[in-house]
Amino acid sequence: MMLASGCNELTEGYSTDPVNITDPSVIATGSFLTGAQVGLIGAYEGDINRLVGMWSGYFSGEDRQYIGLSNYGVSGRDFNGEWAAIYASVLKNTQIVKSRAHVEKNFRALGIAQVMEAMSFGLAADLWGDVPFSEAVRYPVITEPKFDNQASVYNAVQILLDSAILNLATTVPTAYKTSPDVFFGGDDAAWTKVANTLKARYYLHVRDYDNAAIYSDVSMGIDDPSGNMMAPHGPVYLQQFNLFYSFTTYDRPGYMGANSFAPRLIDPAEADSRNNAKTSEEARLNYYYYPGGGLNFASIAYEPNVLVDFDWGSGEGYDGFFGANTSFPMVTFEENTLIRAEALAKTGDFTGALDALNELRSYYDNGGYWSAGYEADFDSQYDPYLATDFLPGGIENADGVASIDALVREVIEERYITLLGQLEGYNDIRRTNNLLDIPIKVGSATLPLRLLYPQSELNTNNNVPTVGLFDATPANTTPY
Amino acid sequence: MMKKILLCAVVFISFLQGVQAQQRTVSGKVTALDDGTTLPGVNVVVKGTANGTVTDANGGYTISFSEPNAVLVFSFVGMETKEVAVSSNATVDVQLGMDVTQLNEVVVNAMGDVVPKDRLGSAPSTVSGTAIISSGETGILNGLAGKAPGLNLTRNGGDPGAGSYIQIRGQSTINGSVQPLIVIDGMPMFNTFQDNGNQVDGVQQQSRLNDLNPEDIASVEVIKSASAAALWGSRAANGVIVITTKKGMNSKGKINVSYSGTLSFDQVNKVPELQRTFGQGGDGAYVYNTPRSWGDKISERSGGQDTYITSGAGYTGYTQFADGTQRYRISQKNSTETYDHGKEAFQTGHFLENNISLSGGNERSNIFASYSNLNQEGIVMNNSNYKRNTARVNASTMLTDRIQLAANMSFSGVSSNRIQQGSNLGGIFLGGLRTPPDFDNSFTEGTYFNAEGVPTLNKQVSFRNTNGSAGNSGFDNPLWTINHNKNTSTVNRVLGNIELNYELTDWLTLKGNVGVDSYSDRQTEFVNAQSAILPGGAYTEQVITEAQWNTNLYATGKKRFSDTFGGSLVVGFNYNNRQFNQTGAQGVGFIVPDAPPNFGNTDPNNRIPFNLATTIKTAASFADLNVDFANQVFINLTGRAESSSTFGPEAKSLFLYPSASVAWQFTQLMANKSLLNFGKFRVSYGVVGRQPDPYLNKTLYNTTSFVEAWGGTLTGGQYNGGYSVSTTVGNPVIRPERKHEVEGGFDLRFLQDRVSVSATAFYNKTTDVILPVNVSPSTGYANTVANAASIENKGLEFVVEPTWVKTSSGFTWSTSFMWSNYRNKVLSLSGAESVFLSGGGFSDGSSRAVEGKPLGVLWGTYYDQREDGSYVLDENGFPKLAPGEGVIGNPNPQYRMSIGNTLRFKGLSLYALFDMQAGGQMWNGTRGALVNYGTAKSTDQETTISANDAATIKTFDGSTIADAGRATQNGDGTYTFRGTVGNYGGGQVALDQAWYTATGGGFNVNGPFVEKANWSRLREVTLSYAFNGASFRSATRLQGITIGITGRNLALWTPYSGIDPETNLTGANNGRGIDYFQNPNTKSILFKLTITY
Repeated sequence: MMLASGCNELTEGYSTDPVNITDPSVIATGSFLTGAQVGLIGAYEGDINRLVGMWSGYFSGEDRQYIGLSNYGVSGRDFNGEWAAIYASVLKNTQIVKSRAHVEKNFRALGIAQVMEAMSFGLAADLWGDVPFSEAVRYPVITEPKFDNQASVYNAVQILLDSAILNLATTVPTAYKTSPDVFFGGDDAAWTKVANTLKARYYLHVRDYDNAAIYSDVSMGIDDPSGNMMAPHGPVYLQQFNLFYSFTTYDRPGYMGANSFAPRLIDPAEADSRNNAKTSEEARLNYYYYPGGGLNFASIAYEPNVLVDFDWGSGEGYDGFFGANTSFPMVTFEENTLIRAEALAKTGDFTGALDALNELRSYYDNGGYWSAGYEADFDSQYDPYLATDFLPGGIENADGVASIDALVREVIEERYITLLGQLEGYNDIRRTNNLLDIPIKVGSATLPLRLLYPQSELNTNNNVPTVGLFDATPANTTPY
Repeated sequence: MMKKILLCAVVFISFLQGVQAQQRTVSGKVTALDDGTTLPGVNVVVKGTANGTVTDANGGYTISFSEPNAVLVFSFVGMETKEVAVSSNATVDVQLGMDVTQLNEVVVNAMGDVVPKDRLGSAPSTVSGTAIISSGETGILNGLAGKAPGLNLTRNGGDPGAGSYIQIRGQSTINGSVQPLIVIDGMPMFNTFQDNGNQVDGVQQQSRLNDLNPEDIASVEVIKSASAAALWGSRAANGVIVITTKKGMNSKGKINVSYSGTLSFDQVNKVPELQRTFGQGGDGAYVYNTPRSWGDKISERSGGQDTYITSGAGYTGYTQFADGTQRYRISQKNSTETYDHGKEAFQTGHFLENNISLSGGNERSNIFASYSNLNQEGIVMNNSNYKRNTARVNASTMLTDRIQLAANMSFSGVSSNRIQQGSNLGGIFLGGLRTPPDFDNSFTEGTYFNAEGVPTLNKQVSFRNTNGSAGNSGFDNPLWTINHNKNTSTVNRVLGNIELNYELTDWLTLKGNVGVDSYSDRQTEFVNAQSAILPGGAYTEQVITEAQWNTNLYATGKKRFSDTFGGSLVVGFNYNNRQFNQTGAQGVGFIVPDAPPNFGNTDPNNRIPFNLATTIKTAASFADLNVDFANQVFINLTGRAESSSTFGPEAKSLFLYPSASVAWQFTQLMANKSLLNFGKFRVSYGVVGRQPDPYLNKTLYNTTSFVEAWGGTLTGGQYNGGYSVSTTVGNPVIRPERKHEVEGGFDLRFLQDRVSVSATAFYNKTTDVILPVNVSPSTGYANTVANAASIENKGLEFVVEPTWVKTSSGFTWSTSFMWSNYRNKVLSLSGAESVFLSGGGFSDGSSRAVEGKPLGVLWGTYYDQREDGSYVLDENGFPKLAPGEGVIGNPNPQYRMSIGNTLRFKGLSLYALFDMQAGGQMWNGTRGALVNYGTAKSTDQETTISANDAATIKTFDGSTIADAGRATQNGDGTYTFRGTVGNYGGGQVALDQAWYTATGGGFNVNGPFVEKANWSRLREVTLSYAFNGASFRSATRLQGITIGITGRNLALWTPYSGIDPETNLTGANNGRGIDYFQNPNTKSILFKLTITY
């Protein structure tokens, strides 16, 4: 035993990893904030977005597993990544930021973290309905968090955003004025507008059109494209590539094309496209898609436009929406304007809604958000709509429905194209009970109305509710 | 070889009666029957007297005696004892054969000490160095295959230098290594399998044990029993393999020189079968650049040159090849030529090994030195090789009458180059086996001129980029890959120990053994800028170093209290320090594509450095008590108290590993031993363990790396330096795994050792198995590591070794029959449905731990079946996939058996080893993929059905055969289509392209591609002849020349449809039974020449 106690002395003091950090106190709060932001980009732009994009008519599954996935052939395992992105990659790290921000009086980081938390819980509620909130991210105190009902999570998201807005307005020490924040460099005004637009987004999701209109007002939400919350990307594979680009061009070329509903909706060559006397979508079509294929496919009707000069020699100004360097929209002026348009229309304010729509069309008519090369080389036209365009027989009301319904339909259709490739597009389809008639796969009665709870949570938490892929989340059970 | 070890053991203790000259003197020479080498140290005694001598360094002896009818008795431990009547001869030369049953055999225990086997309470398996060398394998590991019962070896593949997986008595852990501890000359050594986390792609990695020169090995003991291994405590959970290297012997100053040379020729032994009937395309028609081979029937083409698009619509330029030919985009396939893509990248590989050793000594000192050089070209045509240089010096000397100092030191330099395999767009087989049979891969590159005539030099062409016009090859052309991608490894290693032995008194000995094992492995991976692995190219260079220091100090006391009662006690201390470092960098995207590998040739943003370091310190004290009663009962008790650095300060860190064993030689009580001349019962119990991997106790915080499911990655480094908490939460109270084992058995020898029988049964249970445990991700972490599982193994092992024939003329025929079976079961996984094993394969198509099932079961998607076995069908009568995943197969064999036969007559010897595995399955993911691609042999079937059937039988896409557009209508109205008609219980359905590219193919379902993987093989046949007669020796002044020819894997019988099933994609990892485009195994013919001087 004497020898044995000697043994301990010989081995003590080597139980800590020599090259990895085990003491978080050496890491700056701002580093955790940006770490969480990387996770947030992943959650909004990564693999689930492509999956529901195939269901939403934005993309098509062309090879291997993507054929099955596009035909709704999914299991819980397909959602492990998104769930972990939200709870582990974002929320675990924002929690660290929050716990420190109070001590450090860094209310800016606190506010930003709260906006990100709202975006995470809001996204989880959108996709899954009931999700852990009140007991989430409390390991080891709570190992099986309960699932809070979707409405209470949406409520909590609004409270988080209110709190964030207050914190962003709180004076912080000068040292925090510059921030590693990858979206706005710590600009509290920009974050406040994002927070308001998010409030509007989540009010819209629960059909609270009055509040959605209030928070998407130009005085509250993002009132200019320069205030867009965009995920920045760059030319380094496995580090900062646009995730669509990484997938379609480097990781799994040929898996995902765009033989789908969305490109046909905006392709002037298609007889029933939405192009009309006042609208030419050709530039936007080419920015989003590559008609005729020829990038990662030998030939296909459409494929995601992944052009970027360094890989394709496409020239400056021709970066596609899915190009390696192209920033990905997370919360935008465009969305804010369309929330306002929809919310006003749904509350009966036809004129206000039309003004909002035309405000956006004016922006598009001046070159919009697409790369300059497409604007220069292709037709692009977005003349203002008049109220008469929505009267029965007008160019936006061929089937003779009530004007206000025709306007709502046009706003939803514009949202569908504007929010192309974003999760909000899929949210809209479910929220509006597929108002646009996005094609449903043969053999299925509806589009998938939610994501399945991930296998990783099912394996470890007895509180996971039992639901099916075609069960609507509670917020979407009432008619649109 | 055995005799040399035995000699080492006895050389210091056997001695030496005085010789008294009498009336007659006889002299002669004693040599070994099997290889003609001289035998020093043989006891020569005049029968019935104490008059004797021992042979000198040259095996010579002279003895004087007075008895009229003297009979000389020649005896030597481990060899048969021979009595020769002198009569009137003045010279008596004697050849001693090996005692095949090895009477009084000694073995080396876990601590490296020599002990008599007949007194052991457990049954280690011994493989002699000779047996390893004769196998003709370049690495020690593969040379052990089939030569020890219950030792399950699986090669990583047939690439040169590829390592092997070793399994002793079933897998008993889930998360950690299942590889046994290797102890060489008392010193633990690394047998690292460095896969860089690259488990389903990359190259076939080496096992570091193979750095040793097999010719330096005297013997290998496979210690399976926990009781025998318990002295290594927490490193012995997977058993211990104890290697003893050759030592010099008392040759009275003469130097023995031995040279051996081996030349081997190696070929692929089995490749997957491919169809050569249908060409590239889909729906029965040629499609340009399409990945699949569901095109037209090649034999129905017109023949001749394909129709090219050389201008106008669809013109995409052309590639000009070195031979002057050009290839344009094809508009119509006319050529009927087909190609064998299974073997096109392979050649007859070969290696040449030269080995020279010197040994000698006198009464006080001895030395052994060797040098070997191995130079191997692999079966892959280029950039596949293995070169090994080793040097060794083992020396020992008596500093005083009581102090012996010994040192063993070896150096290895190993360099290799390998081609990638597996799930890898640049692997040989992935691109090769998917290539349509009508595509010629031999044109690999040329100058591509685009439609505007702009040239691109050295453009790769492949079947998905037939004329060079696409940006990317899709899958690399295998014949391009082998000339453009390189994966090198350069290992330099020093391994050695120094041992001081001080015989303090007659009964007390002190021993100290200090050793070091240190190597560096510099690995590079060069991916050409045009490779599909990573368009733009990448260069990775890393240096992996491992070093361990090991110190054993112990005191051995021996005391005999009476003739029938004695014992020994060892008390000791062990300290071990292991360090691992990995430092390297990757540069991605070459600025100048064809430049030499240089990180400067990449954008600074594209350079990723990495480093890793671990230190593990283990300290233990141990005791080993042996007691014997009445020369028939032997009791052994051991205990080890161990502490290790891998536990955090909050955890208990001192653990005890006890063992006990009893052996009873019951035949000591028997008077009549004519039938059964030796019998022993043995029973033992022991506890061994496995340390947790280091640093599991704390949660890590790393620079953010967001990796989405399909590979896309965002890193904190590019986003203002983001850091994140790891998704794996630390476990501050992690404990070691503990394996408890009971074992019983008997060893019997009949008819004066002509037949020996050994049987062992064991049961073991591993508790506290360390497991990555899922944590509800909504808690903010994804997993932790905990002591959460338990596993049991039970098994039977038999060895029967009869000597069928043994004539006075020197002819012997002996057989070694070995049989073992193991049953493994995962008792508990703490509720986890399944646990993915390290190296478990793919998320779909994997090897896992599942509660209640054998460890390593195959797991994946399968067709949904009801309880009565009927399939759940879709509306067209095709089976539907089950919603989840489940167990689809079991890679664990039912039993393993080997039969080795040895025939000898004078210098001629023939050995044949037949080896088999019964049961066991593999997931043939290769076939699954090839069915989808339409290149698998099974997809070349055609079926003709009536017009009526064609109008009713449904295809998977909901059409009928007649309407699907893939069938041709014959003159008589019948339809012929590519595929078969199946029936899953809902009526006839057409299994054609629509089915195989969807739910019927391997990308959608795993279950149907699990195959039986039992095999039998003629693993080894060796024929050798030794020239060592007296006239030969006097004519050549040599002691002997042996020539031999060996065949490896000459015959293989298996129902498995893929490559040799003795393989695993993920190499020596814990996952088993995964086949996905790994490089194939080999069969070999070797020629060997040995000269001893």
